[in-house]
Amino acid sequence: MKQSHILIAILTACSLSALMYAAEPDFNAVCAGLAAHKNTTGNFIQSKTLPKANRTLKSNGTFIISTGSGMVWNTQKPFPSCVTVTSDSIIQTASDGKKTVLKTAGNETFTSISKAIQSVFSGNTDILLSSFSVDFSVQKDQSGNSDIWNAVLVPTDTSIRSFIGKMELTGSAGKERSVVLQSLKMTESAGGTILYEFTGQKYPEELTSDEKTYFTAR
Amino acid sequence: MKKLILQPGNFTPKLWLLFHAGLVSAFLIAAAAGVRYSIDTSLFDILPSFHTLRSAADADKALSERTGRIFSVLCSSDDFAAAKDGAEKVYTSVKDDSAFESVSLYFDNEMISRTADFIYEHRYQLLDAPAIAQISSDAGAKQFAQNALASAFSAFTVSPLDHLDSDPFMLTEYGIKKFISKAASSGTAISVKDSVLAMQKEGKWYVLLRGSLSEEGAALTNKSSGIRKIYTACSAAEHDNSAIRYIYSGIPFHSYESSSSAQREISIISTVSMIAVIVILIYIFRSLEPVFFSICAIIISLVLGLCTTLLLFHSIHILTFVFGTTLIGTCFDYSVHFFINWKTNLHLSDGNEIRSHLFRGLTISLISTEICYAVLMAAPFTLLRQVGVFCFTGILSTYLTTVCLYPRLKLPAVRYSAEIDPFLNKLKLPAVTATKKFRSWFLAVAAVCAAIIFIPFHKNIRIDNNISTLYTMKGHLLSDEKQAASILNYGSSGWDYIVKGTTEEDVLEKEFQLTRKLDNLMKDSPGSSYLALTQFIPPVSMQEKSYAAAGKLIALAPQQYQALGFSGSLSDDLNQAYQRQALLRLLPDNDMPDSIKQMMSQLWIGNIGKNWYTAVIPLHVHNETEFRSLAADSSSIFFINKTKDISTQLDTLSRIMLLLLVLSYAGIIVLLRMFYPPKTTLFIACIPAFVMMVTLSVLAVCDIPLGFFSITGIILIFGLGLDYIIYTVENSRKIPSKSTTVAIAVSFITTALSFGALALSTFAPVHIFGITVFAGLSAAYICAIFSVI
Repeated sequence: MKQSHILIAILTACSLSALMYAAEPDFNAVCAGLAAHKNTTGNFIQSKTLPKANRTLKSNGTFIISTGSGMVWNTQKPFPSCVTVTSDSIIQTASDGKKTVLKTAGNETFTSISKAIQSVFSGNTDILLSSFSVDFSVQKDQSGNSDIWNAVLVPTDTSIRSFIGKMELTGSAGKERSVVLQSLKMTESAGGTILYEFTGQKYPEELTSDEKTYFTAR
Repeated sequence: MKKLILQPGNFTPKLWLLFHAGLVSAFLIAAAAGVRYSIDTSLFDILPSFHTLRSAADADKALSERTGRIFSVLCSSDDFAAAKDGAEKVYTSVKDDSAFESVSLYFDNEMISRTADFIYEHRYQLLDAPAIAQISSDAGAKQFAQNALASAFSAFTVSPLDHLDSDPFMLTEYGIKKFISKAASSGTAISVKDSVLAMQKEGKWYVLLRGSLSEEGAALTNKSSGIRKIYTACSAAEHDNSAIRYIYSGIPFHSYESSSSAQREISIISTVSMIAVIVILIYIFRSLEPVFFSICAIIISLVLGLCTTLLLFHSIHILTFVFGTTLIGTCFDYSVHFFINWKTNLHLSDGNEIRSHLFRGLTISLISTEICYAVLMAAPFTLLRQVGVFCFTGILSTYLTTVCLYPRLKLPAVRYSAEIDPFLNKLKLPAVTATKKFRSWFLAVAAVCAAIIFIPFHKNIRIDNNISTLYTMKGHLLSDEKQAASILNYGSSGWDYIVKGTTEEDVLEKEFQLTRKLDNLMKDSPGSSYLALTQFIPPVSMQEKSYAAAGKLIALAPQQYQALGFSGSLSDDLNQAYQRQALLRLLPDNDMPDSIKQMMSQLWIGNIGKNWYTAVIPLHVHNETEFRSLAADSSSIFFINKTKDISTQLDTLSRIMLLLLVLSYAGIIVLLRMFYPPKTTLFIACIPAFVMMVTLSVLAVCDIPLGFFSITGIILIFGLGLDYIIYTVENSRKIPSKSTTVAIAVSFITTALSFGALALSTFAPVHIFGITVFAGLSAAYICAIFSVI
């Protein structure tokens, strides 16, 4: 209960968004080649489908991924809020600016996800593969200039799987061998889905001071 | 009248039968009437009820009984799958066993869903104080609603949004976050992995199996012992996979080890004592007949002691048996005195004459001994009262056997005088050989020697009871507990509060007030926390405020639904659902999800008598004085530091027992004065002072403080030690008989064997008791053999 399916999706999505395509667009090569980026920023569109309520909630905003600090999910519309995930806490900033800190240090579910992310950034696919079963496929896009890759990750940990049935990541690998994560679709065990579509990814060497403040709880 | 009763001729077999049959019949009738007899083995059961307020003590006992059955087993391995598999094997082996009330390994989706459902169902009652304060104002309510919208559209929620149409303000999400936060701060460092509670530390995985023994399984020493079953299951799993190891933690493991050890010790002590005594008696009597009758008398006295103790207390502690083994020695005394004369006193021609010869000495001895056991029976401590009753009855039984039945035995065909027996004559017993002048010098030198020892070590003589020294963890249990503590990091200080209320609502309310004080006290102590029921079940007043505050949100429902894209008609449904919950109140006895039940099992005591009780456990705290002060001015909150409180209580008890000792001393002097002239009475009365000095010296040299168990021993010394002096004095009043001197020597040896064996026990209370009584009785015997008037 201490971990959200959404959190896991975000973490995984963010980790893979930083991947850089290497020699061949297979999963290992993608993981190893995309470990170079220290920071990633960009925009996202989120669509939460709630089958029981027969509703889809759409929102958008920006995100930051920093290998040393964690990640920020800054929702701007329709209602502003911010979620910062660090190695030992989840910081939520409400629309009135009030921050709530959820300590996650020592939580095995969180730690295993965290390790999986680090393993991607460090190019260590062994740990990632031990946390998820991976179904990876590649196909050419319509122009024939890029490879469209698709990875379906199913958590091996039953605790995580009780929240998340599977995560489906889609991205492109261009001619310059750069890899861009385009979307993440997460299917909850209860049947709902959350789709994240990513655009405008950048890879700055350093975060700005404003961006760094997201990672502090104060 | 007294003389009429205390005539040897009045002690007939009918009297013996009446006494024994009466007690055994009462025991059987009570059993037939439904009284259930039991044997207590819990270590905590031997300790006194430490709280002056009976109700709080009862509540603490109820809580201790429950928490005393809770255990944890960590299965460790370098590989998580192996550790999980090892835990699963044990879980499968014991989960359906009647020795266990509950065993839990899995923390699965169902458990999580039930917790979420519970919070959803009670979302209007579970808002905390900050949320209530915020929602109470119009602007605050709007902001709360706005934050809920932001959360719904945000990237992260801790719960699925399945109930968004019936919970548009995301009160469930708010409640779950608070639950997670509180559970994390008041729980262990272990967390969920792959549907089990696990942790990785220093390269090893640890998977936690928790459980609680049933009443049957908590019977620690029989075949139903839950702990024995756990050991068996773990041993089999370790045999199958050498890469796993189990770590055991919890009171049941320690109780099992200590009670098993006590049982082993009883067996060894009883067997060795009995064999040694039998060998001595066979050698002296050259006949099995006296030995047979002596053993029968002891068995009868032990059985009668057991029946009487069970009849009065309905249960008997295993340690009562340990102390009760002293009966073997003391009961032999009467038989030995009879049979020594029966075999060697050629001046006495039949059993009745032997009885008449011994009657006065035996009777004075009995009364002085029984005075001491009666003092034990008056002690405010169940174990001591049990020992008192057990021994009082047992001694009386043997006395009656000696004076009612033994005189009916025919004298042996072959008798010999103690003076001409080659072995007995070699004993060179001082009563026969020493001069009065020598005896006086000997006693004076002994007193000076005792004083010389006493003076340098007198600083060691202090009243000090530290129950933490009574049981010392060792071996694998010690290393396991250390390892478990480092892994679980529970942070218990060993203190807790017990909160009393007149109703369930009242006790929650009072506990809530206490937690507010704790919050205030802990605000500057990062890392400190507490475990309290109201963290998960707020008091009714809070639930009412929560419900009222939620009403303000209901008024904002149309706008909220619109923002979420739902039909406005849902507002009416929401309002009706809210109104239906107007009278819903959450109380501890309601059905709860397992996650809360597990926490409640450590806290909720429930109804005892006219009151309700719960416990609050501070975690990761150190300054006891500050926490104790929170309960100082309250008649409903009791601060419990069991180790310290019991030790302090035992100090008080020790002082009371010293007072009882003085009283029994006075009683014995009065008794002696009834039988002896003033000079003799004064002489005999001086002996206990010398014995006391020697005993204290021995304790001081051994650095054993004057504690509850040593004082218990000293009380017994008064009764038992005086026997030797009384027999010697009685013997010297007549024509001194070597038979009596031999009887005293044999009595001392048999008794010393019993108590000396206790001194070898590894269990501290038994060891202290044994060494005290052994030292005191030895001094008393030395006094006795030099005490011819």
